[in-house]
Amino acid sequence: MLSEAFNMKNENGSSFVDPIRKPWVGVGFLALFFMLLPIWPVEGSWWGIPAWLLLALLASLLTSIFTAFVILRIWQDPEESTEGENDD
Amino acid sequence: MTETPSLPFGPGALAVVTVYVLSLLGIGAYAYSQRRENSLHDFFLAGRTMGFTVLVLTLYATQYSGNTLLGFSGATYRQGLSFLVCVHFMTAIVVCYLLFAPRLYRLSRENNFLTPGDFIFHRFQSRFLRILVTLIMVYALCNFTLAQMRTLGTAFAGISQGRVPMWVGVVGLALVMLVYESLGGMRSVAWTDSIQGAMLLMGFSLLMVLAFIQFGSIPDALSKLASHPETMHKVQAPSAEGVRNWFSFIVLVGLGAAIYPQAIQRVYAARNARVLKRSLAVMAFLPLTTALVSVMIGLLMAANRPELGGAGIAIPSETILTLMCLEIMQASTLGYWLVVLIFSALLAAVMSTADSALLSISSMVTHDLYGQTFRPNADQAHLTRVGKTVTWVILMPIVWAALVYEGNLIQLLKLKFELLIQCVPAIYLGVHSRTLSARAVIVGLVAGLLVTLVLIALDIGRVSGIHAGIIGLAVNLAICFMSFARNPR
Repeated sequence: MLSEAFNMKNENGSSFVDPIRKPWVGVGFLALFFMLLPIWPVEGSWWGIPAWLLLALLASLLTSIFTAFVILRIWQDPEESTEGENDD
Repeated sequence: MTETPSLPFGPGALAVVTVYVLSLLGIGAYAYSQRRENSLHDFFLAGRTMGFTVLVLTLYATQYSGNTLLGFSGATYRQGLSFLVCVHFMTAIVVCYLLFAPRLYRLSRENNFLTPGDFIFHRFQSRFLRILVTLIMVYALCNFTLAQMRTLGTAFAGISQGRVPMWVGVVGLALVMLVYESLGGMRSVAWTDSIQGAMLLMGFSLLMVLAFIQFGSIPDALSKLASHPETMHKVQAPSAEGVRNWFSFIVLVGLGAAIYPQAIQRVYAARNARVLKRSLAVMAFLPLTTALVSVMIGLLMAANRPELGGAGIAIPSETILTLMCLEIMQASTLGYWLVVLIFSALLAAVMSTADSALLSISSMVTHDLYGQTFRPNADQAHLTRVGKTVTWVILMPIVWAALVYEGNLIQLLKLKFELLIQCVPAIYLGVHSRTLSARAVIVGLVAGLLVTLVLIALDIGRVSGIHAGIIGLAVNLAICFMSFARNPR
């Protein structure tokens, strides 16, 4: 029941790619998840801001960048190549 | 209802807000003229024609509510930097979409899904599971809408200054929402969300600029907080229990908010896969422009107005944004009008979140409960009429509860994510696994709900920083994985 929808291919032969089935994507998200937790052994401040806070924000930014990359580059849907250019 | 400090809004400001509210009715009328057919799919999913700009703004306006502005800044004021977790859990929502949305989108195109219940029935072939999941989702959304209506009262009180009774404002704004929603369904909601989302983004940007001008920089605020023994804890890294609480928050909100029915329906409503992908990619960055702004406002106020949370002072921390606005609008005419815009954005944030939730409730009650259970042969026009009626019938008790009800049941209504995440195996595992059975999901779901409710009834909302709902979910998942182990193929 689930498989038929994912075996579909478009006219270019591209098929569905579920990003979360790629092991490196899962590992990347897991690593970022642990980076989001404030558990690094850092002390003091950088530019007047606590180091742990800057690292937490950096982890958040990296998560956003990695997520956008996976969405735009790894996730593939066979519908895409048959679509027109206007998305609005 | 939270008591709001007085903001000196004049008749001009009220006129701007009135024009904005009336324009929503105009959008509803235009959406009505754009309908293509009298069907549930056209009414509840806008005929699956949502383009990039509308989809990204409606996702944004739906996900970021009045609570993001008022609640997050208030929580940061009270707890300090430990509430930075809100940026992480809002980012986690987009990551969690990736766990199921690619497959769910593909399946929805193949099978014409309207509600999350459609996927549940398609995957598990169980009417009971469909009804169970739908009831939990309806409950979570009623709770969510109630919270929005209460915030609407707070925002309205801030704007009207008692010139219009609060109940008139809340009932009036609810009526406006009902009218535009009944006229155009998802089209109205998505288009008004687009305006509201744009206002919200603009409001957050302005707020940050004004806050820096009025209260100084973040390093200064952090230095002030660190130099006082009473506020020093607000800049320190979370303790071990605090870290566990971050973990729990990220999992709870990330997994829970991604399966809000209104979010799933926006996945269904995307015009095509590319539109959905581009919209979700933009959403991945919005916590940094929205939740982070609320955190910075909370910090600036904690550093510059630390007395508000002091002993014997009755001003609730959820009103610190209003207090900040009061100072900004008193400083200059420009500040005054910018605060008018910010409060309109706040009103927009609340209305956009509430209207999306309401439309989703209506679709699930009409399609999953009434249509599939009681009138499986009903025609689309009849179901669409029922859907519109359901919207009105549901909102009335919610508005009443928001305005007057203060009984013990309110404690139960605070549960939302805790119960909603018990649907995680049905959706996240269901979309990937071919062997997970309906029976295992039902047993896991019931066990997860029971564990969560018992812990909460015993007043154990968290165990070592971990939310009761996460413990319930662990039990729920353990049952599902045991079923995998017994039936691996």
